Amino acid sequence: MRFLRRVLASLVAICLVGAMSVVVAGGSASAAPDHRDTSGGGVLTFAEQPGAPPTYIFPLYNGANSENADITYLQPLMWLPLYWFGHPTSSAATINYKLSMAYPPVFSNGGKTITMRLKHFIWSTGTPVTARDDVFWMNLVMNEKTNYAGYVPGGWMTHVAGYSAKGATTFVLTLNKAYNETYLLYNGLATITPLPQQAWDKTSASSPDGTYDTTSAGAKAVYSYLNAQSESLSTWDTNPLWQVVDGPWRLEPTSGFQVTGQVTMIPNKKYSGPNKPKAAKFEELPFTSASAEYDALRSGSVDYGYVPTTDIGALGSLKAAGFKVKPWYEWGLTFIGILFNNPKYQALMSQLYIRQAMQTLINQPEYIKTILGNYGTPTYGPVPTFPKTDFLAPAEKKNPYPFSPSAAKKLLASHGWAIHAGGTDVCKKPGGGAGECGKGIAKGARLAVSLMYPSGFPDIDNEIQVMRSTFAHVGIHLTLSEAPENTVLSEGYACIGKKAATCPANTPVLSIISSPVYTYVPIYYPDGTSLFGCGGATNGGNYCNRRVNTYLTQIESDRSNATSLKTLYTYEEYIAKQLPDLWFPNAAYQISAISSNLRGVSAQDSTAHIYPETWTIK
Amino acid sequence: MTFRDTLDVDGGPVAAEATSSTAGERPGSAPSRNSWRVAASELLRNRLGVVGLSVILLMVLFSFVGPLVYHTNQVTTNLTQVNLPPSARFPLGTDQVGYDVLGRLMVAGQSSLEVGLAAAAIAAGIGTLWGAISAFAGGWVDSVMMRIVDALIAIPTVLLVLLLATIVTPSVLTMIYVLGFVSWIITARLVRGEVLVLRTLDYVSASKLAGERPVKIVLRHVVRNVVGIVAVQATFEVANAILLLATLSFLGLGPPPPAVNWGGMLTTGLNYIFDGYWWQIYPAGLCIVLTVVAFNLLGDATRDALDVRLRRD
Repeated sequence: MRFLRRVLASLVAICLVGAMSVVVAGGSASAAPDHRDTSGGGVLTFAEQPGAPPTYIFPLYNGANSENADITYLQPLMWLPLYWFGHPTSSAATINYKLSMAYPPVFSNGGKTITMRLKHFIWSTGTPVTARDDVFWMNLVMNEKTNYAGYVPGGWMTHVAGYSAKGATTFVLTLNKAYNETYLLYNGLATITPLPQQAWDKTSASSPDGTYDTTSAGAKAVYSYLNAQSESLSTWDTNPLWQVVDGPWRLEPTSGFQVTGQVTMIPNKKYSGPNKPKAAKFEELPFTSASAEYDALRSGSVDYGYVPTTDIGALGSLKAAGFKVKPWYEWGLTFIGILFNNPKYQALMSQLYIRQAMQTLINQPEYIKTILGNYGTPTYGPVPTFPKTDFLAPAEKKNPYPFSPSAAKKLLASHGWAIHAGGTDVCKKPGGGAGECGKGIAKGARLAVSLMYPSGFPDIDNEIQVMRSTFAHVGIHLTLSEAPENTVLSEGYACIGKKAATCPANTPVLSIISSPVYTYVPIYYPDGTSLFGCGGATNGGNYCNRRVNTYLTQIESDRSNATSLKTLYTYEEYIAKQLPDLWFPNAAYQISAISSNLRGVSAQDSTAHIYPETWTIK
Repeated sequence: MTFRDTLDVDGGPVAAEATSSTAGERPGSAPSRNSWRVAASELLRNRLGVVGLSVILLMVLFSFVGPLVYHTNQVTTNLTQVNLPPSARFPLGTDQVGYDVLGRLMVAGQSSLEVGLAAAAIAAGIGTLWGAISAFAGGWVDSVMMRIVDALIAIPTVLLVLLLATIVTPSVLTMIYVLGFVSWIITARLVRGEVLVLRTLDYVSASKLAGERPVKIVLRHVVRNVVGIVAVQATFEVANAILLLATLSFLGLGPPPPAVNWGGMLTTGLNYIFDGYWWQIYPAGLCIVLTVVAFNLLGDATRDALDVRLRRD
């Protein structure tokens, strides 16, 4: 017994280490089998992000269902938006009229009337896509605004005066307020998605197709029915609703979707748009961890996958095996959110010089080079620095706060702080005057704040560790806490819209969710209204600056594109320096590994759309 | 040594909770200084026990004295020297943020050993008091206290630890409390079995008749007689606590940076398993295995030394 116990104890310890290796290296039992198919045009296999399978098929999705797995990998392959953003041959996040279902919009009546003429597209049932299908979308979304992720309170949808179909191919939208045309196209018209009214305008499986959507109650009932069908994941591939598509692909009947997240699509033979699918099937494969995906990739089970950023040191073997490795950047931002209404730290974080000191301690170029393996881009303001875009102000192309611990130290010392390198700075000159710590900061106050970051992201973990060390050099103490991503997200939004008195003091002052933190999809205009505008829907830190709001209003309503763009530049420069959050490097959305057998992937779309209809497999 | 069948309050045999007294003692008395000397001598004659004790001492020296001899900067990250392989300058290479891995192992060992020892001490304290009070009080108090123990035993330890770790903010101190809180149950059962026997002995009865207060009897006469069994169990609890801390850190629920422990190092190292950075994986794994095995060996040897039936002579 004694010997047995000794052996068991040893085995437990050894097994723990061994099991950890197996868990991390293997990760998941969902490694995909070989999906090569020699029939027809072959089978394309594409890896979904780890732990992020599709959960919603209906294109009118809410915020909780707006993951790329749904809104860029799944729905747009079957239901095309009126105006397509992104390109199969470049990473530009711009309008693509070639792939759009409508010709460029025509603005009249002082910009309040927008006329959109449809190109010739047909549904898989053989009937043409008409302006009535646009009206059907509008009826549903206008009656269920709050259930649509693209809805911005106070935005263009609240100024819709009317909409109608003029004949089969002309859709007219009327607003009671004129918007900048580019802004409206990027944030409003881009979200309109024609839906098959003839097949979907019903309130139950047994109800005949009708015109229920023409009344508010009817539209709500139709939405309720379609939403319920979408939430029934196990019936996606058997439900006739989802077989009526106008995009290049449709779910393979009866076997096109597994609740684990595996998607199998076949070409829509009636697809009338450009780029007809060449492959026989397109499969999206789910994985529970990045390492499980990596195993599948290396075993040849995935044609288009990705490499965990921690494994970029091993890219050589992957390239030798014939994979092309390309970083995929999203049209988005990465930042560390600042909570401005935490009652205990409000006085500290409202001081611009403290935020400036913190920002100068974040060495973005070094993080990108060493931790992200050069697979990252810097963030200097509200407009992404990549891909190349006219929206990026010349001033935002440069870092307004280059890395400089000495500058940070000088800033703090000149504002009345006693610097304790390696310890925690202490305010020795309280008060709101020049050379003093600032209003509300008491004598003896310590420069220490909390930072919460997500577990399971080694890159962020490393960046935060380095950041803590650098901050400590000038006496800014960061108390770190790690938590699951959802917890960080809920903590980051715990005090949204609250007054400081009702915000718990233990809410993290700084937080970062992932990289990128925020993507400009499906509303593509990069002004960050909801992030930085007072009371914005995603303004978790409650940053509020009247000057910023004035800029935003001018950008969105100025009818002149030139003037609006000029205002956008001024706004960018201003807010980049105001630091409503701490700008942080934007890691690649994924480091893609593309098999040499897969042809036709010439670029990766920064709006995260994919174009399997342009791909072929050898 | 006393070894007798008796009945617990529910009427069931408690032979499984076999009772043992400290070596060389007379039944009914606290262990004498001589008995401890005999036990120590017996322990030192057990070769595996000596190996275990030596490894533990080595690990303690490595973790607590090592940093005084081998100076490294474990406070400031250095991005100019990340993931370097072992060399003369860095005997075990560097990690992903530029820390010297050998120096990091030493600092990590401090947390792992501190948590292991402190958690085991808490578990021993709670378990001893719980088991002693339960058995000594008897009746419904014993029933309630033991049903609580039964209920806690029914919950898988890892699940309980995970639950607690998500409630509290992880730090070395909170980890000690969490692991101590989940580790006392077995000790309580063992102590209860021992005390059920002790309470029937003459000297305890004499104390009662002399009018001593129950608390005093428990602390003076009962607890002192279960020290041996508690000490043995504590060595196993140290190993368990180190393993549980490693598990928590592996799952990302351990103390956040700048705190570091062997489990956390192992987790981080495993992120780079395909990059061939073996020095970030094996040394930490080896430290965990060696320490856990060493404490188990010591535990076995201590039990052998304290149990006259298992004596070699």
